[in-house]
Amino acid sequence: MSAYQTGLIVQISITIMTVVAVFAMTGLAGMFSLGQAAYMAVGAYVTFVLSRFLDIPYPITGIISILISILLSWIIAVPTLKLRRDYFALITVGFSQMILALVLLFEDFTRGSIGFSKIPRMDNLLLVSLVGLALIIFWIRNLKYSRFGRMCIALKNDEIAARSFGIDVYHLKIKIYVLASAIASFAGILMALRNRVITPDSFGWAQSAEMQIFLFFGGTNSLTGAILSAGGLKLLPEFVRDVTLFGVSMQEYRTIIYAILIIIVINFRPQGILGEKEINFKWLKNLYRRFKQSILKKNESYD
Amino acid sequence: MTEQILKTHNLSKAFGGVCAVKDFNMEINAGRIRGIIGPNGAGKTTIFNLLSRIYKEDEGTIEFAGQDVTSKSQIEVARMGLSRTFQNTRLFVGLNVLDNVKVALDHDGKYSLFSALFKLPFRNKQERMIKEKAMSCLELLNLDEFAKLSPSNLSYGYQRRVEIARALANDPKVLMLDEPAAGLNPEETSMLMDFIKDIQAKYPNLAILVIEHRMELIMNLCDHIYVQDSGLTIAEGTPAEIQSNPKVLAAYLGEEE
Ligand SMILES: Nc1ncnc2c1ncn2[C@@H]1O[C@H](COP(=O)(O)OP(=O)(O)OP(=O)(O)O)[C@@H](O)[C@H]1O
Ligand SMILES: [Mg+2]
Repeated sequence: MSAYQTGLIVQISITIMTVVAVFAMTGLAGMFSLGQAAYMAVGAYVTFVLSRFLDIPYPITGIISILISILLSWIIAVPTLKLRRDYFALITVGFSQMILALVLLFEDFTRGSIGFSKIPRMDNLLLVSLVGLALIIFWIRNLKYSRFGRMCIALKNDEIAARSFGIDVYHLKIKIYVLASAIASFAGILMALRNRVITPDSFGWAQSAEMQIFLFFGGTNSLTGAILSAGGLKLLPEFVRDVTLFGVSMQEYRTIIYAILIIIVINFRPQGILGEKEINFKWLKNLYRRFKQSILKKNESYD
Repeated sequence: MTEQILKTHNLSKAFGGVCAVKDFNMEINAGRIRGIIGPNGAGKTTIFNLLSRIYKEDEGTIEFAGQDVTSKSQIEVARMGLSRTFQNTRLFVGLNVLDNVKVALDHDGKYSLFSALFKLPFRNKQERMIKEKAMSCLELLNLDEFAKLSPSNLSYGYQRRVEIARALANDPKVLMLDEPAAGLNPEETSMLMDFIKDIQAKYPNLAILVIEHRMELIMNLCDHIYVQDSGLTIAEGTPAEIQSNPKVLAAYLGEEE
């Protein structure tokens, strides 16, 4: 496999990871955040800045960075998850701006907008990314089909009704938000290892918005929808890399393409491509059966 | 059977200048059905919202299961066994009928988030127990054939029943139904009233409180009725007493004819 292909697979795994985490937070628990990329920044910067300046191996500082993200997200969640949902979304934007401001402020350590480079090479990054992705999908799938998933869907529908069944809406939301943020920071570490350089502009709110776009495109209520749409939409610009428009590669129009796609989907299929459907074994079996039947019918009509 | 389960004393609530509920006194015993009737805006739903602690009262006390619950939260009284439905259907979209019923049991589920994420054997065992309990609730109320359906595929009358089944899943002490027949056609309405009677037979220790604004509907359902008008209790008593009360006829029936 070429370095380009490996890099692409790692990149797509990272994207899917972050979107799966956003699925848990927004799709299941209805918390709309535009700050998840900030936790990627925390993962990336804390891991490699600490590793370099304290001379600690990065797997250890990586774990520290995830713990810091957990703490940070908890601190953010405790006061804001009591507020109305729209305030929560606004505060997450503010939070992500704050993290980036801190990166620029501590320029001596982070190299500011020049970017923090010379990140060590990780030989089995592809393997780690794929195993990490598989584990995260396994977790969130299990979450959806557990009592926590059901309670999340209930509170997303109607918090007052959820409370009337004894559901502690506030604490459940905190748990899910912290979980999603921890996953994002893990993805941030992988992203740094892939790019070998960390720059603040790869963690802006546009990055967080992209995660939401991918989720809404696939369908907020479908985990497999989120996975497929994240993978597909991330891959899409790669196909049009060599196509140029006004002398610029189509890849540069990525954001515009996404915006157009999301406008189309929201207008014609507001529940997302897959809606509430999950593509699983049973679904595939049904599809196969229907396919077989239609072929049989065709044969009959020839008789 | 004579155990008093829920009681209010001079319960009052105003919104801005509007008195939604004023000095409301009621009590209900285990195994009984009582009704609250009154025209639109009489304050019936506000009474339920006060009892279930969605609103905080301005004055008065609420005693539930032998405790003063005025300082308790909505979640706490729900967990103590005060269950309710809402005036408009609030089944959870994205969950099938069975999962909707499971939600009522989920706060009490024993497995942790950790065992949920890793799908540990303990989680599977607990999930099976939750499923059994939810299923037996649906079976008891003859709704089990709908378990796998999405609520939106059910008729309005059945959605109401599923909602009531869900409110019963956790074996509450008190069940409060806010206009359960609202939006139903006459046939569905009479079936729903039979359904509620059936519940009383199947849950002998349950106290049921029903809100309705059409008086004739709960006349042969309740033992005792409170008549509300503009926040005040204008009459209370057995259905027969209510029907012949001149105040009720004037203020309530009169305007409907
Ligand atoms: N959250 C609120 N804020 C302001 N006013 C409210 C609120 N809830 C209820 N009210 C007012 O309190 C009064 C009683 O309302 P409530 O909903 O309890 O009536 P109701 O008897 O349930 O009527 P309906 O038969 O229409 O359901 C009304 O005047 C209503 O406008
Ligand atoms: Mg009402």
